[in-house]
Amino acid sequence: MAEPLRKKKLEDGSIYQRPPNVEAALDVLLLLPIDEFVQRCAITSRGDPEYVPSECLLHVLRGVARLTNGDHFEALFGFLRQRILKALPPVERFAPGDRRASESAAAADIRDAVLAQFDEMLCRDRLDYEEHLDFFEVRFDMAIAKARSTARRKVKRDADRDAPLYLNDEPNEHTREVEAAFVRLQSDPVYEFEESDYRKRLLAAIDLLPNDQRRVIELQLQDIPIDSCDPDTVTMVKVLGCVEKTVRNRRDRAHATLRKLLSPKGESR
Amino acid sequence: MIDRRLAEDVLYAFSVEPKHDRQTLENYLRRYPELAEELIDLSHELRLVAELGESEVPADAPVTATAEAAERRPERLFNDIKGATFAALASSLNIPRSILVAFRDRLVVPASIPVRFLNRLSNALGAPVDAVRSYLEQPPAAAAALSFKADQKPTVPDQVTFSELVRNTPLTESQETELRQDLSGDERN
Repeated sequence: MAEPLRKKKLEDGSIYQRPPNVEAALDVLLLLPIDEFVQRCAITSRGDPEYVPSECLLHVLRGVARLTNGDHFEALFGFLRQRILKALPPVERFAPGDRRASESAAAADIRDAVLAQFDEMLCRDRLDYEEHLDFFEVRFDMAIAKARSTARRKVKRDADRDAPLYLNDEPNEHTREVEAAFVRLQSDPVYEFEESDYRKRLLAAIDLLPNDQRRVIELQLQDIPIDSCDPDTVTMVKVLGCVEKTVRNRRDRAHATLRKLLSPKGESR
Repeated sequence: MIDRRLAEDVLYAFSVEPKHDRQTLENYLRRYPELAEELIDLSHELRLVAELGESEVPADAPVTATAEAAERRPERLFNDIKGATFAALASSLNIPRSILVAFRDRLVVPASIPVRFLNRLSNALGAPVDAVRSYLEQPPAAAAALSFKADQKPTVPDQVTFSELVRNTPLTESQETELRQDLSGDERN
């Protein structure tokens, strides 16, 4: 059995557990000769029965890194960086045509910042124990989303990102198409191929919105109401700390921008 | 103000929750209203990961691992270590950044470097001891940026011994203790 994690949960102080599938995989993988383990880490297809989950790769790498004679560290470290790069969502691929180049540049900066964060954590882990790495042994891809979110706050995006994209829009002109797409995004996990591509483009477009508008959209997708008479209900007005009218304006501006970004004219492919 | 370390714990905890639905988000927003913006941003990031899938990384993509670079080209040992990573490396070694700079620029007489320190450096860099040693044995570097700006060819600074470097650098108490241990483990100085 793999060495237990050390990070304690905030709510009850119990120790984080790896999911059963990760523990089961570790039970098998830890019995392999290290050379064979390293070879298997080169497999990139998740469907391959010999694929090593990233959580397991990280667990073994942390152990190898602490050994004074850490053979295989370089190879495992290289594979881990590949996994990190792979786990970052390819937002730029689905961005509207005229924004793809600037998004690729932003994505490269974010990528570097995520890798730098990871290097720092591994450095600390070798000398002591970096408990935040435990989260990556629980759900690697989701913890990478956290690292990306932090990196993104640090990396300066395009100068025009914080400016309104389309100044001439009438705020209330959002169309049924975008509204309908939202409803599907909120409620319908099953969709046809064509629909799935539209959905991805919609998400990439949401990613392009200025921060205050994107937050309203994310809360809308989570079905959080704008306002409520019930004082116990979580509302956009409360969490964003602004009045209802401001929330509605942000939402309307966001919808108008999304409509432009997703319209065939708005996309110079 | 919520403590930054706790904020990081909260955000990581949210990221590894089994579900990222309305209920989970509401729970976190109720408990940590100061982190509302960061939690909402993270909720959006998690949605991107779940919906957009993976990035394509070609098998032969240049992996800028410091360790790999070191293995193949010792002269590149510090190439990817800049900014925050550089500072983190210095703090993980418990030395001032100026000392790490001296090592990066190979301003230390290689034979004067205690074995214990060399091992610590190799561990922290994630590179084999031999790679670190061969990096440090190359001629000292003049800062690359200078060679473009100066009117005259920049001269390469003289090397100093490890003990001189330690003696002439302002250190905190714990840094001094650590470096004294490096020195005492080695008779060559």
